[in-house]
Amino acid sequence: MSGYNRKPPSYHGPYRSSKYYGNSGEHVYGDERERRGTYSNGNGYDGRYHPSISSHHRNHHPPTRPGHNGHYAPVESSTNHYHSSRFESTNSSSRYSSVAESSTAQVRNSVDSRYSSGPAIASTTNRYSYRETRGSNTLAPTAPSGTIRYQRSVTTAPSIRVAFKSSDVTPDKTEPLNASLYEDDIKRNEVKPELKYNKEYFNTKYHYFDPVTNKLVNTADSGNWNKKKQYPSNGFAVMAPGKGPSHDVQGKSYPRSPNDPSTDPREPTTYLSKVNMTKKKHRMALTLIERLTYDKFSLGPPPSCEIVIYPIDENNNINLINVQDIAIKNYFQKFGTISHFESYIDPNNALPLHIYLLRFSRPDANINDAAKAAYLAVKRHEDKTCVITNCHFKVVPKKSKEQVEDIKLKFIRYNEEQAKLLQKKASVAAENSKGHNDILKASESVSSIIEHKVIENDVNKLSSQEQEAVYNELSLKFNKRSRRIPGDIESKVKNRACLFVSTNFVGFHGMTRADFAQRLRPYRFSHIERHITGIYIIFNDANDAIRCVMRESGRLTIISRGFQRMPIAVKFTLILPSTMHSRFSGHNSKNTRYEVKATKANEPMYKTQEDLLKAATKYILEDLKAALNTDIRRKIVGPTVFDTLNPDYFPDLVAQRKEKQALKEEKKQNITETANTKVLDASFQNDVTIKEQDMDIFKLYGGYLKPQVNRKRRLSHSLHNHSKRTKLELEPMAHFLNEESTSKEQTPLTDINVSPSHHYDDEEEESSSSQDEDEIMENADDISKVFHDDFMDIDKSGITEAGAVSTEPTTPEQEGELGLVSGTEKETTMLDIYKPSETELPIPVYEDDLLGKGQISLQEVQYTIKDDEDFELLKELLQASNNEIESQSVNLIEYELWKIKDYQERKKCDEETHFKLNEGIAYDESLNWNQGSFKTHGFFKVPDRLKQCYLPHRRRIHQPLNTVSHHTNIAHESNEDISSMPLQREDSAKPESSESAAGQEIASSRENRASNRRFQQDIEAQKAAIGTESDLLSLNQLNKRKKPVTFARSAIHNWGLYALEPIAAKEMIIEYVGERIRQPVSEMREKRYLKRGIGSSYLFRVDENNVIDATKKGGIARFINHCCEPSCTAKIIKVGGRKRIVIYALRDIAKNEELTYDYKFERETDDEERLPCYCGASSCKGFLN
Amino acid sequence: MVSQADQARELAEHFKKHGYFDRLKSEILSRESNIITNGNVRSSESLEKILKELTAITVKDMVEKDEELIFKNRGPTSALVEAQLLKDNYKKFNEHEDGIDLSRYLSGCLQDPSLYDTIYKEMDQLSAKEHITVDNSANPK
Repeated sequence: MSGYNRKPPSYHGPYRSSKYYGNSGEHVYGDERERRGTYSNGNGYDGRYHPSISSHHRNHHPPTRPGHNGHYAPVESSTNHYHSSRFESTNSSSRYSSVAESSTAQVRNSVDSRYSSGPAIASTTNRYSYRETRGSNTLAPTAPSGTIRYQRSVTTAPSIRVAFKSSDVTPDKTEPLNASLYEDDIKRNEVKPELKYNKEYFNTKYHYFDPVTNKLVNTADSGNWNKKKQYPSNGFAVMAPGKGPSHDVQGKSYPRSPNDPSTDPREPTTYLSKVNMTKKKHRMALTLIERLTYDKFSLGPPPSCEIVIYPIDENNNINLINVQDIAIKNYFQKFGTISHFESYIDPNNALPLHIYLLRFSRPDANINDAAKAAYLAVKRHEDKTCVITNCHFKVVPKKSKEQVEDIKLKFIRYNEEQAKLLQKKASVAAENSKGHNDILKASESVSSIIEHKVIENDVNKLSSQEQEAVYNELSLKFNKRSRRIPGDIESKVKNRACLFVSTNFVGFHGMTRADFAQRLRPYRFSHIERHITGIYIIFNDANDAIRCVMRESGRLTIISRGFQRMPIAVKFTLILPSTMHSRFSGHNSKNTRYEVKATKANEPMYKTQEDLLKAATKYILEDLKAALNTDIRRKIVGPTVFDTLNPDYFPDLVAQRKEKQALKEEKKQNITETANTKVLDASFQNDVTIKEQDMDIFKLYGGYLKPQVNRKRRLSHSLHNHSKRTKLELEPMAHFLNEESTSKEQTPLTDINVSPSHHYDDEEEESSSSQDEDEIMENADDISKVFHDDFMDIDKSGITEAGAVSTEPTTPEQEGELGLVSGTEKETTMLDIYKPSETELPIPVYEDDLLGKGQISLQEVQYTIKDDEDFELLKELLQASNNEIESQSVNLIEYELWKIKDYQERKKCDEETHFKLNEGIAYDESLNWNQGSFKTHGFFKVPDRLKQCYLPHRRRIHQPLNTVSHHTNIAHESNEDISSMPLQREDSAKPESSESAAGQEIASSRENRASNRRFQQDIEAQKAAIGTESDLLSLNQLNKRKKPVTFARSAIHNWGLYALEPIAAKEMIIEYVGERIRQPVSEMREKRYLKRGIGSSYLFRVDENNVIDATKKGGIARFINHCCEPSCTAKIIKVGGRKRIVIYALRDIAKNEELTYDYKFERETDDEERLPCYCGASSCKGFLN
Repeated sequence: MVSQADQARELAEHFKKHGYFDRLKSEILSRESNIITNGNVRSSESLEKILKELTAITVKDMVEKDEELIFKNRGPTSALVEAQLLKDNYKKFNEHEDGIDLSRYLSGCLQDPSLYDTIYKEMDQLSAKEHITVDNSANPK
């Protein structure tokens, strides 16, 4: 171990000399070893140097564990030491330094597997190696060829091999070295060993071997690595798994014996294959080094800039003839600039060989770029063929002229062979046509015969045998797959000969019937049929078809629309008539007329003229029978039936029919009249009661109104003029927005006697609309001034608390009034009142209503004072004299009283009207403006809570509705006493929907649908009978089921859709109609609408690809607003195979109720993008999206 | 060369082209003769006239049964009625008491030997005129 430890000084110290720098190769070698050791880590090379350890070294250095990379370093260092000692002992002449350097190089080569780098080195090394090897043999006999280095040296250097052979020393012997041999060697080389640093100090401290005496020194100080004898003295051998004495699974070292054959530890079969170690991934192919640019320093020929292009298979390239030089040039121009283009032709026939030579170049004459272009052109087509105009080419780099010549020669020879073949065929055909009739002798000649005969148009002249042969040959040649006519076009083909082109080919190239019709004009084809399987070109004469296929199949070119727009050769499949084909191919075909005729053609049917005439007579009789039947049907029966069915021939039936219809109509009219009279009766009962029709918000849109309205109006006018005026005037305020002119005309009404409600209407209108604002404000201002100036001083409480005062007139009041008016009536009517009573104390005739009241209004006072006595009592009470009263206001008192009374009456009327209009919701007094003019306040926002008082559509009462049937029952009951149901919805309390009318309506709804279905069936039957599609007979089923709806202003947003009659749940209401557009178009339109400021888009998505746009063209279904608690839903249904949007009722919908459905917009994450919802539902989400 | 099968057909076509066929047809339809109906013999009446009367009567009967026929679309309705009349070899005509078995009558007319002779003679003349004769020597056999 000390030797190992002392290695560095021994190396760099006393034994180092200038001439042994060559031996620094050993050092390098050692480094290489270390490097290799590092390299071999995990590669299984560990421990392979064990056998090479000499016994000498083994005695001093413990063996390292197998697999330990650094184990060899001390051994090698000791070897170095030894060699250095040895060579130190030799003459250190200068010539050895070079030798040593060479040796170093040689050793490095041997280690790096680059041994055979140069013969000169090898020759110089041999000598040295010999010496070295011999020295090794002499001084340190190693195990036989244990190391890589020695093995390679042996195998590559014969002198070393000789040295081994000449060595008599057995490597495994451990006997002392022979000194005499060494001396002989010294003598021969005349080198006397001389040790430097042979001093005691160095010897004791650094050396362990004396080369002069050839003995170990300092053995006592050196430790023995194998004191315990645990390692075999002869070293180790590594056995492959499963072999050797131990039969270990894994490879293991064991003491080797000299007789064991040496194995190459690098061989994976011996050691590494089954060792449980990670294998290195060996590369499968050498990695190409980067392409070196060619410059002036480069050796060898410049890189090739030329490529050769030639067809891959000339046989199959039927379109090769279409390939032009320019196409090749254009194709390869994308790789680089072409400086030279050469196309070769066949010297025998001057036809192009379609072999091209291309040379790339660059304007700046940079050969590297040109070479790169050529390389890329070749590389691109290495794996796949080059396809130009549907021809397949091979692209190879041009390596030499001979290569191009070889390719040319190959194609020229091929052409020669083909030409010879054709000549042979032609000669055979010529011989056959000249001499004998036996065409079938040579099968090759048949085609030429066919060609000749068919082209000459004399196939008919062939005998049946010849025809048979011809057709058989044609079938084999042009219909290899035995294609037949599809069943669905058999009737069109009618067993005629036709040419077929498959739909794959036609579809890929985008060819049409017109293309074929144009190109096949010279041939007399009947027509061209397009079928799912392909295109069929039908010929009346089979000979034309044969001639066409012979001439044009594979030759006719049609420009492809799908593939580079190049002319593409078309191959035809010939389908012969089945009679011809069946006889030759053997399959059965249908016995069509044509076939029968054809089969009969060869049979002599009529032997005599008589037979012929009989047959013709038979034909005539058969045809006569058919003709008679046809004539009877077409000329006799048909017209007669049509004429007979004329209703004019049946006047009785027509009259009966008319009577029936008249009766029906009368019945209908009676029903409607009875309904109207009931309505009128109800209206007469209470003039103040506002009829539903008066409140019909849709009266403005007269389209859906029934004719009964006119009659009713006429009657009402004659009976009571005031009711008509009230009806006209009392319309929901929300719908005054719909009619600008109406509001403008009605606003100037100043006759408050006639329509006091207009005052409030205008006030309320101010908050929702700004139109006619000035006039409204003026009126309001005037009226409020009147109130304030004239009456507030008299009795303020009478106005402010008017709402609290009971508005119902009592009977005594009426009596009092009557008493004041007429004295005679008073006497008669008041007689009982003034009748003296028998009581002791006088009993008051009128009850004292004013008892307990704090403030008494003037009117109340007036009502209370019934006679002069009361008046006198009042004067006493007020302590006022008659003069005072007369002087103050006796002139105006009557007027003032009238005004107060009138005001209160109007107020009462307004409240009642308001109560009716707003479905029982009282008017909020806070809406009254008591602080001067409205104008002084400016615009202000009226809260929704207050708007609900006067805008019914602002109010969302989501009360459950009655079903329609129940609804009619209620209507029926309500006829008796409408006033008893003040909270009933107007549609439920509809007086006009009488029992009979409503019942009939519902009953007729089902009947209508059933009759519609029958009508639809009739239409379809007629369509089938007529056999043609007509728009007149097309029926939109959805329109038939549509419910009467209309649009009007909506409180939710702008416009809304309203039901004109009650709709039951699950009923279809209306179809969402519009332009059906695709998704991209809808996106484009949406942007355009936004750009143009059309805020409301009416785009309704049907599915992923289709959108219905009702913005410009569409139905009124687009006005349906969104609601979080919708009354309807939109469903997408299929009608006639098309998806359509239909609105269905989710629940029962009352008349005049706005229709809504949930838009179901996707949730928007961006708050700015969110659309606020104004539906006002109790569960409103606040946003649409 | 034209085959013999075509010869007969060709002769028949010539027969038609010369108007013999139409003449025969109209003769059968409009010839005034004694036609035996179900009830009696209708003398000196043409088939066309009888058929028209029968058709009118039958249609009227049908209208009586279903008066809606005259109030519907006349075209499709008349087609349906016509189909009813032509069904089962004019069975509807035979149901009437004064009806006629039309199919039987027609077949009787066509099987009339005089008619056959007439046609045959005209054919003979026509074949001579058109030079349509049997020529067995032309057969390859």
